[in-house]
Amino acid sequence: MPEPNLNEQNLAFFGRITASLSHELKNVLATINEYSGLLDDLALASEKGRPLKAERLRSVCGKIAHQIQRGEGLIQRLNRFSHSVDEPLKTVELPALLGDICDLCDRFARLRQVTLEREIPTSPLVCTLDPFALQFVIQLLIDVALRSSPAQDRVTVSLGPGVRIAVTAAGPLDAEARAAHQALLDALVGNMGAELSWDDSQVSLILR
Amino acid sequence: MADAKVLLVDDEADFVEALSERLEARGLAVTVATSGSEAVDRSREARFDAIVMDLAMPGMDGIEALKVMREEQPEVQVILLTGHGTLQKGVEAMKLGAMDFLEKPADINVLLEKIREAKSKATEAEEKRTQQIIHDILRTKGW
Repeated sequence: MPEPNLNEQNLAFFGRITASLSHELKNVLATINEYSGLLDDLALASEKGRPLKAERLRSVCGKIAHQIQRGEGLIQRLNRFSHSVDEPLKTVELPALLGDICDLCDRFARLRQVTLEREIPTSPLVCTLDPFALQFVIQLLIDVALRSSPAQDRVTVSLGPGVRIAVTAAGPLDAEARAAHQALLDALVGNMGAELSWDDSQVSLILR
Repeated sequence: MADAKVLLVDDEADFVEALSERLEARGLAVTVATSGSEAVDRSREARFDAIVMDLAMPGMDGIEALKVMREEQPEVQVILLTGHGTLQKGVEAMKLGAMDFLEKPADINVLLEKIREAKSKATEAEEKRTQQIIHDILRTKGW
């Protein structure tokens, strides 16, 4: 099997994540667009003599505020992800970084009707590593697990001692899904100085 | 545009709530679905002048739902909405029989024009179907 072109693959991963986030942002803007249009409709109806209830206005404004909050969250995720390529080695809070990549993969899980669960302790754990490469590896492991899990089931990402990040599927890991990513995973994990451990329904990334 | 019956399909509940209210205020009769499979079920229960459907949805997406609907009702008029207006997806959708393809956020007046067009096509298809039935009856009865 030919060696994966890491530059190309890194770029493809960056594109995949930013495309996913931009898609979600489009949905936020589309929803705000409709609610702002609805406010306009209500104002027009009021001008024509139809009574305008304050409660209705508050409800619509609340929906808009909720979408703005959602959009803000997406932009923050995009910002953190974009900055993860700033330095090839960075000291990071591992639980927070893991939480970030899970948030970024939520949409992929949702499209497959699978719930992505996290078992990540809140206690601080600092590591020096390549944050972009780590996120790429975890996304690939999550992808294998998602392809191995039926709809309405769950995939779990957990952080354990020995700095072990485990991704557990709902069933046995699909051999084809694993094979599709194996060469790339081996290259990325090798560069990180880490190792992968494959079990029946779980794959673990061991950092040290 | 009174009496136009529309099926609105999107997994974003808030989006569907707002758009359906706006369309109803303009005289349309709106049924909503929040998934591709639910949309297929609704399309089997009633005839719609237009189906306005999101492309990317969990489970059965807009393209898959379109395929099923077109197989079961070849004259169904489907307008696809997408958050990513790639030409490739648009071409794929049109090849599968979508009436049109709009990028979100869509201007409601543009959407209404598409729905008007869909209703006109749906009425024309229904008239042709009725004429064919009458023709078949006349031919078989020999009047």
